[in-house]
Amino acid sequence: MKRNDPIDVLIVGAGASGAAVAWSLAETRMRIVCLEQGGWPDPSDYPSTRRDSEVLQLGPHSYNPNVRGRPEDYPINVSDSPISIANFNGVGGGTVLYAGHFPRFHPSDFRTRTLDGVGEDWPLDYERLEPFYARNDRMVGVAGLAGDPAYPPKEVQLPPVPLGRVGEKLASGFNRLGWHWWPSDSAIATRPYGGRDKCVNLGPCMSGCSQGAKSSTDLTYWPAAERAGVELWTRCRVREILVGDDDRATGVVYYDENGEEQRVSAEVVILACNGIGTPRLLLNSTSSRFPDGLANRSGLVGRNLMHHPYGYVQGVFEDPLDSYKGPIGCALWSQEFYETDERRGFLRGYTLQSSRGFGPVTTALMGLGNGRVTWGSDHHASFGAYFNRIAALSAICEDLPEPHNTVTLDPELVDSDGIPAPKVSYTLSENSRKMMQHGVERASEVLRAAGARDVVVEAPLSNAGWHLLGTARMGTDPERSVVNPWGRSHDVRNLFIVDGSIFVTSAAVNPTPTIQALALYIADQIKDRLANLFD
Amino acid sequence: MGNDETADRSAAGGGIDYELLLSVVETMIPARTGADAMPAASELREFRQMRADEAKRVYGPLLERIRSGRGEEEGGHFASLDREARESILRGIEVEQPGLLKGVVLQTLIRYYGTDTAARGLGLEVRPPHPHGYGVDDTDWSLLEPVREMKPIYKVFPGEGEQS
Repeated sequence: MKRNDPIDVLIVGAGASGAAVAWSLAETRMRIVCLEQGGWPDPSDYPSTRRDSEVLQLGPHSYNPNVRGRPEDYPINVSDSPISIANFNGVGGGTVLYAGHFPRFHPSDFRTRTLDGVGEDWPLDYERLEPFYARNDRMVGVAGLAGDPAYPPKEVQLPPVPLGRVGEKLASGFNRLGWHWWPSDSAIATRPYGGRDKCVNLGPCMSGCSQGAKSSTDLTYWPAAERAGVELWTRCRVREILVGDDDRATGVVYYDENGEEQRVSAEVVILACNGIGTPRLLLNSTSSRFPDGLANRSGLVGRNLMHHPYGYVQGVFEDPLDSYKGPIGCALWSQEFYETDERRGFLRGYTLQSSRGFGPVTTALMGLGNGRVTWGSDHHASFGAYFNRIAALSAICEDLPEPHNTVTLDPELVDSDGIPAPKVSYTLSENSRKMMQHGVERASEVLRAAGARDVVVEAPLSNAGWHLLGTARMGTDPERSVVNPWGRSHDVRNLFIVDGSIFVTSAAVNPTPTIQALALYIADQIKDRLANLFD
Repeated sequence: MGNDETADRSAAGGGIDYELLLSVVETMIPARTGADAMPAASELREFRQMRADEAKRVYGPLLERIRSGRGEEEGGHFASLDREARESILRGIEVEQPGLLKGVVLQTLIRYYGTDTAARGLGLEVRPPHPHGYGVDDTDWSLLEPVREMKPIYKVFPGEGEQS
C-alpha cells in the first residue's frame, strides 16, 4: 500500500483512544491509517533504566510537555490556569506516562443533571457502556479484586497490586474510621499477561514502565492493530482538517517526519488527540464553511474543559515505609465520599486515591518546597524524618463543566512546525473548592488515624493536569454538544471524536477506562452503521 | 583545602572560586557522623569537580552576592568563617533574596541526593530500578474484612440502560 492510495479511515493520535478505535475497526478490512506526531517510545530509554532516573524525570522525561520540550511536543500556555498540563506525544499517548490507576465511572456519573441538578446527563449510561469497559479490561489486563461495594459487579483479570507498607498503613486508617476502601483497579500486570511481563515494583510508573508491565497502548492495542493491517505513521503532525462544500471532511494537511507539508484524503476522519489537542486541531481548521473552527457551530469546541482538581495530602510516619517501592499511584482507593450528600455543602463527590512516596531526590525537592526539609545544620535530621516515611492520599474531585474553562488558540505561541499552540484558561469553581477542602480534611483524618505524626497539604495540586476532558462534548442537541451520542460531529458527518474531549461530565475517577470504553463503543457504532454512516 | 582539591579544581576548569563554592554547599548540607553517617556536600566529587561553566551557572550569582556582601558586615572571607557564621550569612541572603537562595539549595539537593555516595549513606541499593525492581511483601487481605461486610455504596436509580 502506498501512502497516496485512498484511505478509508484516518485517525489522528495514537494514544489511549486512537489505539482502541483503530484496533476495533481493523476487522472491517478498510484501509485505516493513524497519524501520530511523536514516535514509538523506547522502554529501554525510560528513566527507570538509569541511576539518575529521578533527575531525568525533572527534565527530558517530565510529564509536563512545557518542561520536556521535545520537537514532537507542542507548547501549552497555562498562564491563566492554576494547573499545568501533563501529556505524552508519541505512540501510546498519555498511557505511556499515566499511573495505571484504572477505575470505571459509577452509574450515577452519567446522570448528574437528573440526580443532582448540575452538569449534563450523558446520552448513554453505565449499562450501555459496561460491555465495552469489560472488553477494554480484557485487552488491558486489569489487576484488582472483585466485590468492591462501590461498584456494580465486574470482573478483573489479575490479582491486585500489593498494598505494601504504605497501603497497609492507609487501610488501617480507613478501617479505624469505618470507611470504605478497596484495592485499586490497576492497568498493571501483576502476573504475565498478554505478552507483557509482571510488575517488579520499579516505582516511577509515570515516566514509562521499562518492564512493560503497565498497560500502555504501544504494548497492547497497537501491536494487535498493526498485525490486523492498520498503518501507523509516526512523526506526522496534523495541521488542519480539510472540508468540502458539502460540509464533509476530505482529508488533512500534515507535516511529515522531514517537516514537509503533505496532504492525504480520507472518507472518515477520527480525532483522538485528547481534550486539548482535539479542540486545538478543530480551532486551527477554519474555512469559509466553518470560520470559527471545524465542527464548532455550537460554539462549544474548546469549552467546558475539566481536569479533576486534586487535593493532595501526605502523611509523614515515624517508621520507614519502603514508600519508594511499588507502583506509585496504585494501591487502594476509597469511594466513601463519591456520591452526593448535600449535607457536605457541595454536590457530587470525590475518590480518595493512595500514592506511595518517592526516591531521595524527589523527596528532598518536595520537602524543600513544603518546608519539611531544611538546609543547614538541621538538614539531615529533617530529611531523615521525611524520606521513606510518606504515605499519601489524593482527593480526586469531580470537575463540573463550566463554559468559561477553555482551550483556545494562543495568539503568539506556535509549535516546532509553526502551528498555533493552545492556551488553557481554567479556574476552580466554588463547588470544587468546597469539595477539595472536604477531601483534604477527610484524607487528613485517615492519615492521622493511620498514625501519621504530620500531614502536608497541597491543594490544588499544581502539576496535576493529567485529565483533559469535555472540550467537544457529546449529546443529542447540536446546540449544546459537538458530537452526537455515538461520537459523530453534528456538523461534519464523516468526522468522529473518540478522546476525552467528548466527556459530558468528568466523574471523580481517572478517565482512561472510560475514554477507551467510549472509543470501542463508537467503533462498534461505526461498524454497525457502515451502510448509512453519514445519514 | 588540601592538595586533592587543587587537583579537582584544575580538572574542573578555572574561573570559579571553588573554595567559596564548597564552603557554601557544606553549609547547606553538612556532614553527619555516627552510625548513620552522611558526607558533607563539599566532600563529593560532584561538587569538587563540577565543571566551571555549570558551577558558574548554578552558583555564580550566589557566590557573587556573598562576595559583594563580604567585608566588615559579614566578617571577612566566607570560607574561613565557622559553620554557624556561614549559615547566618546565608540565612540573611535567604531573607533578602529568597528566590536566589532557594534555587541554589534546590540544585544542591538534586546533585547531592543523585550521587551513589548519598544513596549508600541512606542504605539504598546503588543501581537503577530496572531490571531488578524491588520486593514488596504480599498483602494480608484480611484487612478487607470490614469492607467486605459493607452494603453497596454506589447509587442505584431507575432508567439505567436507556440511550437518549
